[in-house]
Amino acid sequence: MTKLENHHECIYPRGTPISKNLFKNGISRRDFLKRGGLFLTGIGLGLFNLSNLPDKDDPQELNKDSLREAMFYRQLDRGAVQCDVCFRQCRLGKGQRSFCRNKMNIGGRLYNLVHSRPAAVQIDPIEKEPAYHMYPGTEILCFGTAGCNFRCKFCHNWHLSQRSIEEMEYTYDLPPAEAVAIAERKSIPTISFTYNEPTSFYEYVYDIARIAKKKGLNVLFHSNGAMNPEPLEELLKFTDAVTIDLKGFTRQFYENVASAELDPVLRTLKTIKKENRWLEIVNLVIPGLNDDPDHIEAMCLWIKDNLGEDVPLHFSRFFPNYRLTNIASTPVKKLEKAHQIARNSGLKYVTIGNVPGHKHNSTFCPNCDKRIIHRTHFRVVENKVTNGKCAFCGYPIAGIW
Amino acid sequence: MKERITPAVMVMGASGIVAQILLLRELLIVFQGNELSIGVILANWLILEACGAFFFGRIIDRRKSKVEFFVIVQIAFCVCFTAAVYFSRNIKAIIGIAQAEALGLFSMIAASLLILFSVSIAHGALFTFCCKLYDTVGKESRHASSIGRVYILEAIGTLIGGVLLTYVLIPRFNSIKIALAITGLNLIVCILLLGRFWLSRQRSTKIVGSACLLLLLLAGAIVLTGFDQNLNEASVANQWPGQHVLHYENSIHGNVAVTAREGQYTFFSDGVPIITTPTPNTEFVEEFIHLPMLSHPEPMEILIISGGAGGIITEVLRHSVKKIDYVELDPLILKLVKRYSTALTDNEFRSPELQIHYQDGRYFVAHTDNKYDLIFIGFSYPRDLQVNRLYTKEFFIICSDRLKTEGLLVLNLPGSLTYLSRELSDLNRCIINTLQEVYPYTRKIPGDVNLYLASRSGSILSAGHSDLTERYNKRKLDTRLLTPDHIMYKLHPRWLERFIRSVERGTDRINRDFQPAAVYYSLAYWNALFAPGLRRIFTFLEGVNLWMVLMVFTGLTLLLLGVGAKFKSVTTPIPLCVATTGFAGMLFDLVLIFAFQILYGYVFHWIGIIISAIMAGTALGGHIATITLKRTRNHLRIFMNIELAVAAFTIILPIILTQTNLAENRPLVFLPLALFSGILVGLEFPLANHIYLSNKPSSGLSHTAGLFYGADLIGGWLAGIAGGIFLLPLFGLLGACIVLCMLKLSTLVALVWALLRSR
Repeated sequence: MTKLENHHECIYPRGTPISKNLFKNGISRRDFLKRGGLFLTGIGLGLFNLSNLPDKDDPQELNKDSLREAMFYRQLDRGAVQCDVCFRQCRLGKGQRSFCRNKMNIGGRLYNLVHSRPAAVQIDPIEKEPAYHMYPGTEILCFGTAGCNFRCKFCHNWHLSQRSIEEMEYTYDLPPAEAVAIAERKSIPTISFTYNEPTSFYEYVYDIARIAKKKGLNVLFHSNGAMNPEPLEELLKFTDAVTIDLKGFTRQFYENVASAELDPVLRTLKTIKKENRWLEIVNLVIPGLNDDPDHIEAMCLWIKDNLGEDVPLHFSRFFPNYRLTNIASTPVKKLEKAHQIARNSGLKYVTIGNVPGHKHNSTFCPNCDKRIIHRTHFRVVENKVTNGKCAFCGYPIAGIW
Repeated sequence: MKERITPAVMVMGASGIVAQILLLRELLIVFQGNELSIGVILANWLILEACGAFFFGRIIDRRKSKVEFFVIVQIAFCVCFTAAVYFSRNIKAIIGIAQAEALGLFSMIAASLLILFSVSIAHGALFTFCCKLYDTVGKESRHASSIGRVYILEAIGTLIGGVLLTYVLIPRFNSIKIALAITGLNLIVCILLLGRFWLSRQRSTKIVGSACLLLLLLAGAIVLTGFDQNLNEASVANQWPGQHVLHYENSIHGNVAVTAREGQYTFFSDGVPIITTPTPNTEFVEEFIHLPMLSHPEPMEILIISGGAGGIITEVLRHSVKKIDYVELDPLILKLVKRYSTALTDNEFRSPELQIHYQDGRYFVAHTDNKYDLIFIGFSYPRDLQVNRLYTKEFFIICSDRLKTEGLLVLNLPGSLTYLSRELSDLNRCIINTLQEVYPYTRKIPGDVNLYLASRSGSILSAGHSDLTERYNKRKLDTRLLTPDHIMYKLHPRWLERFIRSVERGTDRINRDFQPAAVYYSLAYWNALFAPGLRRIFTFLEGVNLWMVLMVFTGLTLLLLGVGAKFKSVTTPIPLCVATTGFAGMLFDLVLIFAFQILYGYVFHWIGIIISAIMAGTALGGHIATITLKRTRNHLRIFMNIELAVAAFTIILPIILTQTNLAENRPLVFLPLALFSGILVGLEFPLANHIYLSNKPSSGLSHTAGLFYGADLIGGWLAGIAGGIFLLPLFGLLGACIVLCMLKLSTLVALVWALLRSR
């Protein structure tokens, strides 16, 4: 008993201080390691794995017959396939999913899992796209769904783009013909693919666009521009206009902030120009990340040299969003400077977005400097473009009017 | 020599609490002020300090030059602490995340482990060393009582450290300077401990002593030349690359920083931008102010809680109101907006209608006699407990009393015109439910930011597009975005129909002060950004209720009894009791911290006091138990009484905390509660060891201590992680305590069962 008396006296209680009671005689190192280490590792690994798992184990009841086979892919050895729609060119073994989360190799064939399953179907003003030089003041019928081939930390539509179709709480069942029928029924002149990246639901876009063109509707899409030239050229056959996000002008920015590449985007821009489709460019200016005046100037000069001075360029104000929340919004002066740089570089149509009421939210005639389209945010207050010409001086204004 | 160790022990205690609290506060700022991360930080500190005590504690036995070795660890502690303060502000860059990016749950755990790692390990080792030293030099005293004295001295040091830090150091000095001061103090103690080291025959003593002196001089030089200020500014500036940081200050509520770039000021609260001048988010301010103002036929008296400066007041003033009262949750924000003014804010502050109240927003609303036509809550969502104080049923009731009969309460939440995810539906629905508990009429205006107008009057909310347009024209509003066309667009029924369909899928819960369901949904929303894979855990847990927990515990207890039947020893369930008490200890910490924040909103200021009181209580409890052991024989009975007392305290604590009169600023009540909960938890450990060893002498001390220590640690760690993130937000204070009570009772039942079997 005496021995025991001595023992218990060595042990003191917990709290932060308790931990310090293991000095005398100590606990066996093995015991401690075994109990503590295993427990913590178990929990840690378990949680870590969970965080990386998709929301559900498998795509919902996969029925090959109901799925649309993907376009632009090739079959490789041992049942593997390679998707050729975007620059990533995912190589997928059987059962594997593409980077954009929307395509799957089922039995050696590639299928699009989101075809006819939009998660957002909505009517917006065309200015929201933005497409400022295309039927101003008209409405567009927009489609978007899950998935994206980029991982932008500032994504505005992350609820859609950074998820797989199984993780969506709801989607609509809307085959292409019915999608087009909605636009016809509501007399909406233009169909648009936006919100998430159209490249990631290419086959649905393509099928709708074909029908829409047959029915005489206009087709527009808003993209990050990382599609491969071949599928892009095929889609452009049924497209009137494209709005491209040129997110920055350095490879480093694309890599660090969007986990993507700049070169494919530049290639896309050239392809659209070559195919003679109407093109507008959006540049979201994020303070400290892509707002270096030299880079902005280089971008503007590149646009002028490669795409021409008629391509409208929209500088958008950034507000903290998605994961990028510990950062200031873009100073308006910064946007004004960018606007100045672009104008000095020779671009004719430069606007500032996300600053309602700003003078350069409107479009000015490059010849007489008069305001030809007066906008506040997405609303057209006055349109002084008649028959594609400035109503004041008759200067031809590029666009689809 | 012994007299020299006494201050060393006290300084060690004080240094420990200062390091713990200072780093906790720095990390809390990096974690966007989310109090739920406190559990994670405390749990990590606990486990790391244990590692230090355990692994390094054994090394000193093998050392001949114990004092020298102690001094070396002391130096390591000081250097690591100062470095940790510096690097805590740049931890994102260290773990490979952009400064502009927010942190997810896993990054938070990793970041806190990394920052605390060397500091808490070194401090853990120090305590063990102190005891050894005390033991070695104090030969005249018996071993155990020497440890007891170290314990008490350290506890006194902890208390003094906690109070000094909270009331003297933090209000006056920046964190780097405080770390350097602690470094200086520790080095002086080291030098004292070494005595006249330059005369020593031992080379190691001379080297260590000289190092101390050199470092002391260096620390002194840094402070005297003001270089610490440069270090502080550099570590702050790194957080906003490309921005000019004009101001960085901690208030009692949290951190406020002001940055400038291209003529724009941005005001950050705990790293989150809240006010931008001179051009705010026009879309937000115009929609947020004019849609509600136009819904009211004659808005005259307005109250704005948070976010008013820099646009919102300007918009309100367009309606020619009589009076605007403006409060912030953190008055420091107001002072800084005034100091770094622009034409926009100058005009706002100069307007005669505006009256600014430098008070905690919730306290002001609870105590004002004014009645308002409109009350605006300017936050974007109840992202943490502090902000949640403005979104609860209790607060909505207070607001209801401050509104005129036709008055409107206005708030906004994140939304989406394209797609409403489950997290957004739940968050919005939870607040809608809460509003509907208090107000018979609510109007929802969906958008990428959802607007909510709540009133006791139905007529006020029936105003349609034409009424709003008529008022718009009558008041001759000069707006940029919000024109009659835009009003029509916003009020189009298609948005509302879709929105209603989406939120119908949401939760039925309501948000209350002590049951902050909205914080849980905000957490789930925030988690969806970073770890979508964990979404199903959040969804699953949301479905769990107290009955299910009761069933699980009953099942587990029965299982335990079944297993226990095979063992005819009373000792079997004791490690389990210790684990659940470890769990209880940490949960009590969190309950007290969270309750303080819910009631007063300035736990950032008081956390040092609460934690040091708990720690001192634990030490005291341990000491009392050790003394009791010698005097009484029926240890098992005492043990069971303590178990019962802990179980009872789980119910008494929330009852005390939810007393309405506590809402009046009475923080001192928390002191005895913290102390008592510490004592209660501290009592159990020595008893458990003793009983276990008495009944099972074969197990050996080393095994027993390891077992209990591990059990206690796992309990505490689990409570820190799970308690802070799931238990408290989901079940609320009372619910979490009930779960705890069930847990304690189930182990108690097992203990009684084992006792009966053994007889």
